[in-house]
Amino acid sequence: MRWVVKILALIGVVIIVSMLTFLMTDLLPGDPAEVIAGSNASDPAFVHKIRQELNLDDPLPVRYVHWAGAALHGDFGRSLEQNSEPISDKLRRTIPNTVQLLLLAEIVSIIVAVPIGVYSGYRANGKFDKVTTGVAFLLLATPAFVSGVVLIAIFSVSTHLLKIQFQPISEVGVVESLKTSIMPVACISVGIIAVYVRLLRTDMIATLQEDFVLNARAKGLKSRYILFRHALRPSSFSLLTVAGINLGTLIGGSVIVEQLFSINGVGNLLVQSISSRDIATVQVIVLIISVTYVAVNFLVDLLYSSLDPRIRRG
Amino acid sequence: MSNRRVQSRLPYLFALLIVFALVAASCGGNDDKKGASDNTTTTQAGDTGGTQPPTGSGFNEPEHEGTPAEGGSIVFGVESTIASLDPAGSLAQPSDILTALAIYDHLIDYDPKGGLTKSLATDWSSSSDLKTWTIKVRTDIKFSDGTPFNAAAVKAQFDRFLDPATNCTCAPTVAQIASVETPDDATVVFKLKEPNAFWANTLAGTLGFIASPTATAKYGADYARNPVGTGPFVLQSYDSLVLKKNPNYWKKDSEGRQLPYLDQIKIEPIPDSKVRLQSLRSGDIDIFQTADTDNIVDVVKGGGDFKVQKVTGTSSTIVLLNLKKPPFDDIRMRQAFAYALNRTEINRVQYQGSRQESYSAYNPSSPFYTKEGEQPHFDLAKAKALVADLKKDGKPTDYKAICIPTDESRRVLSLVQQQMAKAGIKVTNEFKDQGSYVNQIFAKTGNYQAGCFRSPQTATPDGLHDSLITGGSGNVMFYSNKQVDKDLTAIRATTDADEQAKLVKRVQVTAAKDLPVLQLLFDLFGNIHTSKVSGLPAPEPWSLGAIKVAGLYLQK
Repeated sequence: MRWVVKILALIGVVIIVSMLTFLMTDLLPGDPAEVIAGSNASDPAFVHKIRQELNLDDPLPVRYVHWAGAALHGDFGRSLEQNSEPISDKLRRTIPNTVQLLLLAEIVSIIVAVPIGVYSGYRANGKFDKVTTGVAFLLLATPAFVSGVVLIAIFSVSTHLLKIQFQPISEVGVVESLKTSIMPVACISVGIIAVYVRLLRTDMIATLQEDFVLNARAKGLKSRYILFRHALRPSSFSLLTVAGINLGTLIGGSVIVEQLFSINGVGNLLVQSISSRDIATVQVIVLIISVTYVAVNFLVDLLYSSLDPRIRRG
Repeated sequence: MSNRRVQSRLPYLFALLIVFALVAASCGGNDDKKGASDNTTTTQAGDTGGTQPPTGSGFNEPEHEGTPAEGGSIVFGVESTIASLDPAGSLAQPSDILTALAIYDHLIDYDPKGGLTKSLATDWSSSSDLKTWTIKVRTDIKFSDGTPFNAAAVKAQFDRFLDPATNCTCAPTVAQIASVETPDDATVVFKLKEPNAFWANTLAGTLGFIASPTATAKYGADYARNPVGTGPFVLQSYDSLVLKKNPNYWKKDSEGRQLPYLDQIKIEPIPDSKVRLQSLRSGDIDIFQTADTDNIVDVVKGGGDFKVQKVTGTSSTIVLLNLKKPPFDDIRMRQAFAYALNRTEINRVQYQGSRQESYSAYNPSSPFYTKEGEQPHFDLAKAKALVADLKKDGKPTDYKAICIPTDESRRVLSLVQQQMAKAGIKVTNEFKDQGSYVNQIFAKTGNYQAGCFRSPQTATPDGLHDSLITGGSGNVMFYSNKQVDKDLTAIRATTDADEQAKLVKRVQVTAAKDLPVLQLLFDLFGNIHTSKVSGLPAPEPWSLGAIKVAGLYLQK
């Protein structure tokens, strides 16, 4: 019952978000029909025809229902750019690349951050902790355009080990594509790892002061067993929350990395669409980002309860 | 005690060390290149300009070394993703033009000297009143989808341009056409509403790219991403941007060898200009086109086995002044602006001195250039005097300039802002996205004071027609001068080259007195490539540096 309510609430959120994104067409200055007409915009009859074709003269709620109905069937309409490409084609080209990079970045970050975070928390203020803290702050302070350029200078220009341009799986196959993912994934992960390490360390320190840890230690369990079996689970809430939020943020937010490595991704598409006033595409991308946010956070909620039985019962 | 303190600092020292290592690594790369440059500067034979100012009108001689080798594939870096490959689309970006030049053939081509030469059309002539143009076309070629090329295909193309539903960006140009007729398979007759001696030149621009009528009918609104032409290459897919050799291509080189030489060209959009150069250095790409002066300067400075083809003189950055609105409705204000403008400083500060200052729409090497047609050169005292004069009369001298928000435009406009301040003119710069910028200026509501712009190509005597004639499609300055109107119309109505040159010079002299636009600097485009790539042709006079790729080959 609880989950049903929750899912209904989520659907409500998605509907509200989609309404707000749809409102953008009306709130933004400028007439989309004029943008489409381009150099023919001085001809009022022509602009009028476009308005009719796009049903721009219908009242807002009517247009929303049309749009949302089509979107539910996977038809997002056509881009407002001169070439009027179907938006679903643009998404088909960009989403796989973004998903590939984000998942890789999250996986790599967690694999790297968890052992470091756990150990830093275990030996808080020890030598290892201090070094990782220093490095973490350094990495946090290094913007992607700096780390990216440094990576390119080392691995492409000097040693010719890696290609700079990212190549999608659909074009070059899995192995080649993964090779070209190394640098962009490293770039995205660097900052995330630092955050995850810091979060896990803090939670770990708190957990390790709990009675059940003392109990486990009194039983003579090995440190490694205590850390990863007993302490990691209750310490990973913040990590999980932030990892979920990160997924949503990174969909449209890795523009700099996408630019550096010439990745045809959602972030680039969003920026291009904004600058060419392609509101139809912007709407769809914003909708996708918000739906992902909602869905991922829902999954995180589910994971909470598997991490902590108290949540399941409560 | 002191030992412990040192120890506790260790992590931070370690972190600092990493910073140094990173910095050293990034600089190290450059140092290597600088060291190498001392030894290799002399091998940069392909750099047509070196450190001297670039010369010529863009019609560089083709680069050739050795005999063309057949086969192989290259990766061609471009600045932006491909927006459209439809001749009815805007084809405004160099990346669009480059790809279109590979897929299509023109009816008529430009030769390296800027004259016209035959391509899909074998002959063209006009009636004595210059209103009827008869074009003879080939009938022995097929589009890459098997559709035969003939007069009907040409007519289909122009019918499509003229159809309002196509929403062609060429609408103002094709509005000249009264009718298109095809008396036989090999003849197209254009009937124009007004005389136009330059109709053949129009057919050598983007309007002359002939698309397969089968493909335009089949793909409809999706044609821009599924282009089919008669050209040397065929686009495999819009997603991957791979161009494969057209095995049935009809053109041969001067020694009878089949064109194109290369089997494949991959177009690689690389939006970041620094990364473009690094991709060339790392070997990921073989050649790239650029409008970024830094790329051209850096590759010459940085050394390595690279060559630069510079393209300049066919377009320029300009400032549009709205003659309908204060303060630029007053000629003294326009003169003050002209005198306060220090092009040399902009060139030095922003472009490391690599560009050519522009005082007239035509390049000094052009046959249509005239010294008397030059706009005023920098003279701060005269600017100050004019501003003082205006202020005495209670006239406004402040203005707002609008431009698109690129890094380059911000830097140039803030320099102009400083220069104007020295003359007592207060300037506000406003940056708008391309869409609203175009709407504000080109909707011709006259709701602006000054705007930045890249001028259209001015390689022919007709180049100023649309922007300076009263009511012209590009005349957003609301300039109107009876003499200029008469001369511009007369240029189109004569085939006498000397008369045309005389008239276009007079237009420039008049316009330099009225100052509806201010010229800043000629654009500088470049094709930067490894020394393995050869056979770069002269770029088209209108193509913003984009080249035809059929003649490219890899040296063995």
